Formats: sequence, structure tokens, C-alpha cells
Amino acid sequence: MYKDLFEYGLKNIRHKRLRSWLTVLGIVIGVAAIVLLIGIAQGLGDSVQDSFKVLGTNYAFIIPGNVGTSAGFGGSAPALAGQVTQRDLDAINRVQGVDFASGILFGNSMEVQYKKEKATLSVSGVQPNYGKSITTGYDSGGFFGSSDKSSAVIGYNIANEFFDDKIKVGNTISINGHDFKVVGITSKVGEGGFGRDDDIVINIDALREITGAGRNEYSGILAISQETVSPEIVGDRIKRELRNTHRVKEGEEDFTVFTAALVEEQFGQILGLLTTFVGGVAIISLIVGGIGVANSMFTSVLERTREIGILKAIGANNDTILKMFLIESALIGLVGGLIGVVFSVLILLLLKLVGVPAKISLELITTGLLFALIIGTISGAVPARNASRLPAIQALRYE
Amino acid sequence: MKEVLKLEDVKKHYLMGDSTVKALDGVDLSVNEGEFVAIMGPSGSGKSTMLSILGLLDSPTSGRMIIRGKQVSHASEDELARLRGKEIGFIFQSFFLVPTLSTTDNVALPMMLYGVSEKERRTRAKKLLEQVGLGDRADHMPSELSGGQRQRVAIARALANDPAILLADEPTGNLDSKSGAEILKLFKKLNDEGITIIIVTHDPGVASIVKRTIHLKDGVVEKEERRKKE
Ligand SMILES: Nc1ncnc2c1ncn2[C@@H]1O[C@H](COP(=O)(O)OP(=O)(O)O)[C@@H](O)[C@H]1O
Ligand SMILES: [Mg+2]
Repeated sequence: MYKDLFEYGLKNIRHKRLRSWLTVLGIVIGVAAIVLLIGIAQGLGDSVQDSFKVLGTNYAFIIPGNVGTSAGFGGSAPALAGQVTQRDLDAINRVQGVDFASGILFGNSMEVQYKKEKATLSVSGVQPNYGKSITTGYDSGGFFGSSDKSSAVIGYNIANEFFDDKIKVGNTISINGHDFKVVGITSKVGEGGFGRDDDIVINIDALREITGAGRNEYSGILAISQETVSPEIVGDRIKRELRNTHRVKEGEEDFTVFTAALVEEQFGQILGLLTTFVGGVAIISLIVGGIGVANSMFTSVLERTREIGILKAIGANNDTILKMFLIESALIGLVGGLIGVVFSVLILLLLKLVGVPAKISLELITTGLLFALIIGTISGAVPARNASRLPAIQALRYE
Repeated sequence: MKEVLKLEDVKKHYLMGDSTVKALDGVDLSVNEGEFVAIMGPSGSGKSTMLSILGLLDSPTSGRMIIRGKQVSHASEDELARLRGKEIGFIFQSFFLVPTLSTTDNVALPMMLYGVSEKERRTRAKKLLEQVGLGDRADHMPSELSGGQRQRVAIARALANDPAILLADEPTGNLDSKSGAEILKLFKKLNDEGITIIIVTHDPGVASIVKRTIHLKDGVVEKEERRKKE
């Protein structure tokens, strides 16, 4: 019996007039709207979250001066000047929960030359253990050895986009007239990698020789906390320890400890907004798609009230009629859903190709299909049920 | 003679605002097996209403209806549906074929509703189509057929579950006189083969075929004519 009803539905759909293809089109548009909008919104959300995750969450970055929480990275000038020194680095290395800490010196406005091309860039001088903090991997090569003072590790953009000629591992660049051999090019991490793609990293002592910076001085300290400890707690401990070495009271720090938690706080607002946005878009597209699907199913079944009358007249009972229309509207929903999903996935792929963040997930596809199936079935079944309850004579008279 | 259909004091009243339209106002009727009955009368006299009640498409306001000795006034919806499918074949003025199904599928539809196997359905549908002279139109869609051909398909469909009674409401009303005459001839042939037929018509030609004509007026039986067997 179900096989027969299924076939009846299929025949009906196949031999359908324009009307039922309009119904399918309505569902296609509804489902495509859902899949497209949610796909794009999720892609946006993910790209922000990804960029936030590039460096992981188990780090603290200590810089001289108090920039407060309101200033972003590289933001306004320190409100309270100060220094970060070897003593601080030693102190941080002693803090419980710190895996390792690495002093960093920034050389701003350095003249970097590759082949004939010159550019003004900033260079980071780092201690040998800094290599361990590069967890995002290398496009080619690796980090330089601990006593190697004539090598450089450069970011993906510096290597591939910045100069006319691409820089390869083994090439030589010059910084303020000193030659450095490129031994590593880091993988592209994209936006939110805190500048890693645009970084040039050399040994800290080599940079000191070039800039003449004091032996004791650091532009900042990167502290990586152990996996087992909350980075937030470690950050607090570092703060407390540094208050001791700097002999300052809480609230009067002349240094700033950035932790993932702090960054998260800054990103939090954006993320919160985005989450609300994604959710809102999802709900709106579900409603819009749902209304579209329901509307086209409704009118199409309503127009078939007479057919329901005919079925009653030749002996179909209400139950059978309901099953017939349930199966048929489920089929229409499925067909429309499939076309809609294929269509929108193609568009999402295209968007991805041109660089729009879009996410295509199995969940999204299933959601689109299920949605079409359920809304299609319900919105087809409700008018069918109503029509099947009409006395046959009334259903037959329906224009 | 065995009685297949009986109406006892059947009334159908419609409430229209303050007034009541008495479409049927106390009709008695008894039809025996194998009869060919015509119902005639001016427009609005209650012919369609009467036939719809006989066909269980509509229920009377009051009165009793008996099919093959079984009182159906209080039958359940499902039971009524079963009787419509099994005991009665209904033929409409405007054919009422399912436009999305082929000729064969339309004829097979009532059988499908009663669980006849696909193979059996197709065989019987083909046979019925041949019986109404449409053996060569089995795979056509209704839209590809003339009015007369559509009505033949509708008749084949009405015969699908081998009903005891055929009811036809102005079956030739939408046809030209030639096709109409052919449809009437088909009814005559079916009646000769033993099926009971009640036909609503304006066609005076019918009177020469049927053995009994009932004249309705204002919802009551005005007169009844019987023709002696020749
Ligand atoms: N659903 C309805 N509501 C109100 N009045 C109706 C309805 N159906 C039929 N009637 C009325 O009942 C009377 C008989 O109608 P009908 O049986 O269709 O007549 P006939 O078929 O003889 O032309 C008419 O006056 C018609 O207007
Ligand atoms: Mg009428």
C-alpha cells in the first residue's frame, strides 16, 4: 500500500503542471536562503575565532609600561613608562606554571634589503627558545640554532608577497647592512596571527649589535604556561611576581601582562556580537524559508482540494488521503531541499573561492534537508487533512 | 427482484441566513437490481442533491437511506468511504479525472485504494478501457483526450471495483450530441450486462432507453413513468 502511495506521489510530481515546480522552487529558495545565510554567518564566526586561536591560549606577553586594558595591541603610548629587564625575565622563569619565557627585542624601522630591493621593516630579536613558541609550523625550513647569529626566520608574507622576488630558504637578506641567511619561513597564519606573517626574526644578540640596545633591555617577554595550569592563573602569578621585582603596588604597575583571557575580553564583545548575529541570521532565514515553503505547499495542496474530493468519491478514506499527501509533500520537500542544498553549496564554494569566509558543514546540509522535509511535510499535510475532512461534495465543488 | 437502493422520506435543507432552501423535501425511492432509472426535472429541482446522497457524497438532513439492505445513515466515515469505493461508481458531468495520472492510472486508482496488486490493476484497467472503447488510449494523459473520451475513462474508473450501482449526474451535459449519444449507448450496454444505473439528465433521448423516469420538482417527486418492456 505504501509503495502504491509513494508511486502515486511520484507520478503526481513528475506529471505536474508548472504549479508544482513553482512549489519546489519555493522550497529551493527557502532552503538555499537558510544554507547560504547560515553558511556565511558561520564562516564569518569561525574566521574570527580561528584568528583568535592562532597563538593558542597558553601564553602571556609582558611589555613595559601600563597600557591598561582599554588599549589594544600596539595601541596608544604607555600611560606609565617603565622597563622590562633581565631581572623580570629571570623572575618570570621562576614563576610556578611557566613552561618557558623568552625575551624579545623589537627593532623598528630597520632597513631590510633583498637583492636590489630595500624596505623599512621591523625586526624581532629573540632568544633561542623562542622557536618553541612557533606552534603554527613552517612553510619551509625551521628555526635557527641557539648560537646561530647570522640566520633569520621570516613570515610567509615577507617571503612571498613583500618583495618583487620571492625569498626562499637559503637566500640572504640584509638588515641595516648585516647579512642574514633565511633558514625558515613560517606557515601562513592569516589575520589575527599578531603579525607573524609579516615578522622577521633573528637572534636577539645579533639585533643588539645592530641597534646598540642595552644588554639588559627587552621590548617584551613572551611567557608560555604549562598545559596543566590555567594561563589566567599563571598571568596573575607573573603580575604578582613582577610587582615584587618592580616594587610597585597593585594598580600602579609600570608593566602590562597580556594574557589570552585579556585578549578574549577584548575580543569578547566582537565575538558576542557575532554569535548573536549568526543566531539571528539563522533564525530569520529559518522563518523566511519556512514561510516560503509552507506558503507554496499550502497553496498547492489547497488547489488540489477537488482532487481530494475525487479521491473521496472513488473510495479513499481520510486516512489514506492524508498519507498520500504526506508522502507527496515529503517528496516535494526532499526534492526542493536537495536542489536547494546543492545550489547553495555551489554558491558557498564560489564565495569561498573569492575569499568570502563561508562554512559548509554536514550539519548545515542536514539541517537544510531536514528542514525542507519537515516543513514541506507539515505544511502539505495540514491543508490536506483539512480538505480530507470536508464532505466529499464540498471538496468536489471547490474551485 | 432484489432491492439495491432505497430512500425513505429523505430531506436535505440548507440554511441560508434567515431562509431555508429545501433542496429535497421528502423523497421516497426504491431501485431494484438491474434497473436503469433516469431522474429528470428543471434546474434547481434537487436532482444533483439526490444523486449525491445516493452516492454517499453528501448526507441527508433527515430520512433513511438503505444500500443492499444496509442502513447507511449512521455509518462511520470509513465505512462510507468503503461503500463509495466498492458498491457505487459515480460519474460526473465534468469527468473529474486526476489530471496528473494517465488513463490507465486513473482507472486503476479505485483498485489501488482497495489493495489490488499492481499487475492485476493494470490488466483490469486495460480490459475496462477496451470495454468502453478506449483500448488504444491506455497511456494518454486526460488532457490529451476529447470530452467524450474522458467521460469513457471516468466510466471505466467507476466500474473498476465492480460496483452494484452506477450513478451519473448529467454525464452528457458537457458533450456534443454525438459523443453524448455514444455515452448513452455505453450506459445501455452496461445495463444490459446487468449493472444498476441511475442517471440524471436533461437529454430527452434518454427516455427512450430507460425503463423508468422520475420527475423531480422543488425537491419532491412530481411523477414517475414506467415503460413496459418491449
Ligand atoms: N451547498 C448548498 N448550499 C445552499 N443551497 C444549495 C446547496 N447545494 C444545492 N443548493 C440548492 O438546492 C437546490 C437544488 O440543487 P441541485 O440539487 O443542485 O439542483 P439540480 O441538480 O436539480 O439543478 C437549488 O436551489 C440549489 O441552489
Ligand atoms: Mg445538478
